[in-house]
Order: sequence, then structure tokens, then C-alpha cells
Amino acid sequence: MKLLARLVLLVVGLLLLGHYLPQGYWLLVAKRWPHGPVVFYSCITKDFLFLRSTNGAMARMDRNGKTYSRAEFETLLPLDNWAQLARDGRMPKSVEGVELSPGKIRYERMSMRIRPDMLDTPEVPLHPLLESESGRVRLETPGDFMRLGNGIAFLSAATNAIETEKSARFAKAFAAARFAFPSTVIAGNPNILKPYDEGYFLVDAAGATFHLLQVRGEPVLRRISEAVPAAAKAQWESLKPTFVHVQEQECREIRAFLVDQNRRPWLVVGKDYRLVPLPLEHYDPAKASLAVRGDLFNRLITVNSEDHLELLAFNRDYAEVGRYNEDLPTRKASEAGVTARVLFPFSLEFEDDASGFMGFYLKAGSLGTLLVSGACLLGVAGWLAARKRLSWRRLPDLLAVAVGGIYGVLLIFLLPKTE
Amino acid sequence: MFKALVYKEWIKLRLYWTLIVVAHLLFCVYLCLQLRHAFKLHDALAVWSNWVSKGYLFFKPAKNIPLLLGVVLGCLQFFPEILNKKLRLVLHLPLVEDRAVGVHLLAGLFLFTLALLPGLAVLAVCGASYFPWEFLLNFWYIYLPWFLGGYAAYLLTVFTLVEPTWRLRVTCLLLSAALLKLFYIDSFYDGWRRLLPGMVLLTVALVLLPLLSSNRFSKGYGS
Repeated sequence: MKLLARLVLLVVGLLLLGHYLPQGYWLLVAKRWPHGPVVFYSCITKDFLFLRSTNGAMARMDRNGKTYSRAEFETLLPLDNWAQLARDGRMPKSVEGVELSPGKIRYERMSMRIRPDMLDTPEVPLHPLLESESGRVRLETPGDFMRLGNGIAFLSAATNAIETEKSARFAKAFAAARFAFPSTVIAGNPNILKPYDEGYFLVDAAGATFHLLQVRGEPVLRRISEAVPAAAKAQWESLKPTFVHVQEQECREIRAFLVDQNRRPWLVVGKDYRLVPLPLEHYDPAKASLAVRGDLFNRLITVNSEDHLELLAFNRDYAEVGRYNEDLPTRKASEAGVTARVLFPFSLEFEDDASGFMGFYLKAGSLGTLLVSGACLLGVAGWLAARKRLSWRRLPDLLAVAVGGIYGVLLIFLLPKTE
Repeated sequence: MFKALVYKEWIKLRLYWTLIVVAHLLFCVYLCLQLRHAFKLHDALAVWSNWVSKGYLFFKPAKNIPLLLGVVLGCLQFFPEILNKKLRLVLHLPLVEDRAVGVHLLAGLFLFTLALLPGLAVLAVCGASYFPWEFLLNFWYIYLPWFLGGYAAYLLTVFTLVEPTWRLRVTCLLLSAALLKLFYIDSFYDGWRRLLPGMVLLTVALVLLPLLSSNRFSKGYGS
């Protein structure tokens, strides 16, 4: 029992040191780590432009390293800096024959960002289904919440009871659309401060995608593969999305972003649910964040992972007009990062940027850490042998040093001695 | 012998334990009244929306109660035993040493559970009367880590108190604080779900630590 208790103490000690020591280390060596550039796509040069932070100073440049003054840079990005250009009287009247006006520029601007943790995050499984065509200027929060489990039900917040009549009406619509419960994806944007309501994109147990709206109190549920032109039907049927993100934009062009069963990203565009594949080479939805930014002429896709930046530019017909890749400096590859990975055999976190769920997120050190652990083990064994205390009862301690390196050494000096 | 030891612990703790149960119950009733107040002042829809989208939980002020109770119960039960080294009497009973300490721990853990359950029942019933069953699931996932933290706090308090030397008591205290902090990381809805099995296992394993201290105590370290 004593041996078991000692083992528990050592394991707990190793876990705690693996959690707190690396944290303390990074607190001590903290500095402003270099990060990726801010990226733009210029409708004037028809190429990417970068705002980079180098040694604390901002540098504006193109992909060839040519630098620009602030004023020049703003001129090359009239759709991003229209307010400043207008103030200075430098705003062009038109670009590519398209007349520019603040209203038009604002209307066509859009952005959405998908972080890896959005694909794996806990949520309360109750969803407010907004009224899409209430006839009011502003959207209003409904008085009930939609529960989609093995059926559909609406719960009234005022009575904490199921609204049987409304639930039955919606259940009938779901049955008519051949929706297979339970749904695997429920994606909507219940924020009422948005220009209009897109409702919810649902994926049923069979992987089919549906679009649900509440129109004047009545359910509108479309099986998307049956609402699209015949040529796109097979594409929608084989899609089986695992993640959908809905974020209504003023210009109503992009209806949703989705990741399919093969982890490929797509945009859903326009009234006929056109599927636009995003041919990205470095996008792993579980590790990288993706941003879609749009203006009057282009759509810019930015993929930021820990060590890579990938850019893709489309014109308004979603034909590729530019692509760029760049390796980014990482904290892990810095001098402090290399030292940490040699010094610490592992680090343990309970929260992770890639997930909203807590867990045991264990990161192993580099191969060099084996040398450190080996040296620690030899040192401790030698020290015990010199004091004639090397016996089988020291096995758990030696094991802790072998596994935990410096954590193990700290532990056997901090904890009660083995009898 | 088992019954006699449990009875001894009951005699020692019954007054404090009763006070703790009553205080906890009153606090839980107060939280329920706060919830009722929220529903009276605001639309039910607003309260529900706050829960669904912002993670408002009326029982959150009870977060540190299991931790506090674990520490207090551990101190109330074992501080008298440490004073004048009375624990030695227990360790010299005609009973295996680990079993004697085990009976004390069992009594403490049982009283800890019983002290919290009535209040938790009040919170659960109150929550269920205002919210759907999803809320009860939320209650379970959010409260269980705190509850486990309470057990861990009790066991680590005993581990620290019974340790006979001051140098190691400080080490035990640091280890306890570092470990207990992990049980109280905030999370939204069932964010703890994947970590819970590991934390349950860890808490169960902590039962062994006081035995390590009591063994050193019986060996006469520090005296």
C-alpha cells in the first residue's frame, strides 16, 4: 500500500510539475514573439500586400519585398482605406470602370473567421429560431428555444414547457423532408444584430444537409440536394458536412462556410446554394484558423496555422486570381522554445486553443530531452549509490526521474524520503 | 472496532457537521431566492438567453463551498488528533494502521457527502422548476468537478495535517494548492466532460496520500 501511495504521489507530482514549470518558464522568458503579417489583396496591383511588424516598426510591402510609404499603401488599397482617402481627397472616382461610393464599398465588405476551437466546442443544445420574415425592420428574439434531439420540440421560456402545437407543425415539416434524427450539425447565428436571418443549416443522421427557416411562424425546411440545380445534386449528396458556420453578411452572397467529411473547406454561395471549393493546401480545420474577407472586387481567404500562412484570392466569380504561401516563425523554433523542449520532457495543459473542451493535452519534448533525462537518472542513481541507498525500494523514484527528467529530480528532493 | 471508531468521529464532528449542513442549506435556499428574483424582475426569455449564450448559472456562487468544506472538515476531524499527538492512540489500536486511518477517512468522506447533498438537491429541484433538463445536465457537468475538488481538498488537508515535519508540510501544502486549482478551472456547459473520468480517477487515487503521512507519523518523524 505504501509503495502504491508513493507511486500516486510521484505521478501527481510529475503531472503538476509538467503543468506549472513550463508555464513559469514561459512567464520568465516572455517577449513579443514575431507573428504573421496582416494581409490585403489590392484591387489596383492585383496582388497581395503585407503589413509586417519588424523590430517594433511597421513595414508595408508587397510579396517581392518592395516597401511602400503609408500614403502609397493606402492608395493601393482604396477599398480598405476609403474613409482616409476620402478625407485626404485622394479617393479614386472609379476602379476598373466601377464607380466607387462609400455606401457601395460598405455594402460589399464582408468577413468571417473560423477558429479551430469552433469545430470542437461545448454548447447548450437549445437554439433560438428567429423569424426570418417578421415584417419588422429589426430581427426579434423568439420566446422559445428549439430542441433538436431525437425529434424537434420548442420550449417556452415563460412556462418551461414544450409548445406542443408548434412542435407538431415543425415535426410534420421534418417528416415531409425525410429528416433522419438525430441531427449531427446545427449551425445558425442567433444574434439579432445582423442584417437578416439565414436560419439554421442542419445535417441529419444520414449526412444530408438541410436549411431550416421560420417564415411567418411556419417551418420552411429544404433538403438542399433537392433545392439545387440537377448538376449540383450529387455534389451535395456526397458532402456530409461535419461543420457548418453561418454568419449573415450585408451583401447576402456567402450563405455558409462548411467542412465536409474529408475535412475539405467549402463556401455555400448565392440563392441556389452553389458549392465553391476552397483549394487550400495547408488548411487543417483542427489546427489552423481561416478567415474570409471580401470587398467589391475580390474574396481573400487567409489560413493561419502555427507555422504557416496561406493566402488565396478569388474574383467575384470565385475564380482563383492569386495564391501565396509563407512559413512563419514559431515560438517553438525560437531559442527559448528549443531550450524548453530539451529541458522539459513533457508539458501538460488542461485547455487548448484547438478545442473548447478541457482535457489532458500532453506535449512531448524533443529528442534532446532524452539526454537530459538520462543524465538526471545517472546522476541520481550515482548519488544514491554513493550514499549506499540504492535499493529496489528506490525503483519508483528512479522511474520518476527516467520519465520526468528534471521534474523527477525535483520531486525526489521535495517529497518524503522512501523508507 | 469499526463501529466504535465511526461513532467516535460522529461524536467529535456532529455539532460542527449539523451547523455546516444548516449553513449550506440556507445558502442554497438563498441562491434559489436569487434565481426567483431574477425571474420576477426579468423576462424568463432573458434569463434563459443569458444561460444559453453567456453561461449564466445561478449556482455559481456555490463554486468554492465544496473546497471550503473539504478543508474545514479535514481540519475539524484531524486537528484535534494532531494536537498532543493523540493520533498515536488510534494508530496503536489492535487494528492494521492503514485500516484505522482508512476508517477515519471513510467517516470524513461520508460526512462530507452527506453535508452537501441536501443543499444540492435544493439547487437541482429549483433549477429544474425554471429550466429544462439540459440545465440539470449543465448543473451536473459544472458542479461535479467542484464536488471532486471538495473530496480532494479533504484528503489533501488530512495529508498535510498528519505529515509530522514542517518542511514537508509546506511541500504538501504547495502540492495541494497546485492540484486543487485545477478542479476549479472555469468551463462553459459540458466542457469538463472529457476530463472528468481522469479527475475522478485522480481523486480516488488521492485516498492513498493520507496513509503515507500517517505512516510517517506513526514512525515518529519530527518528534
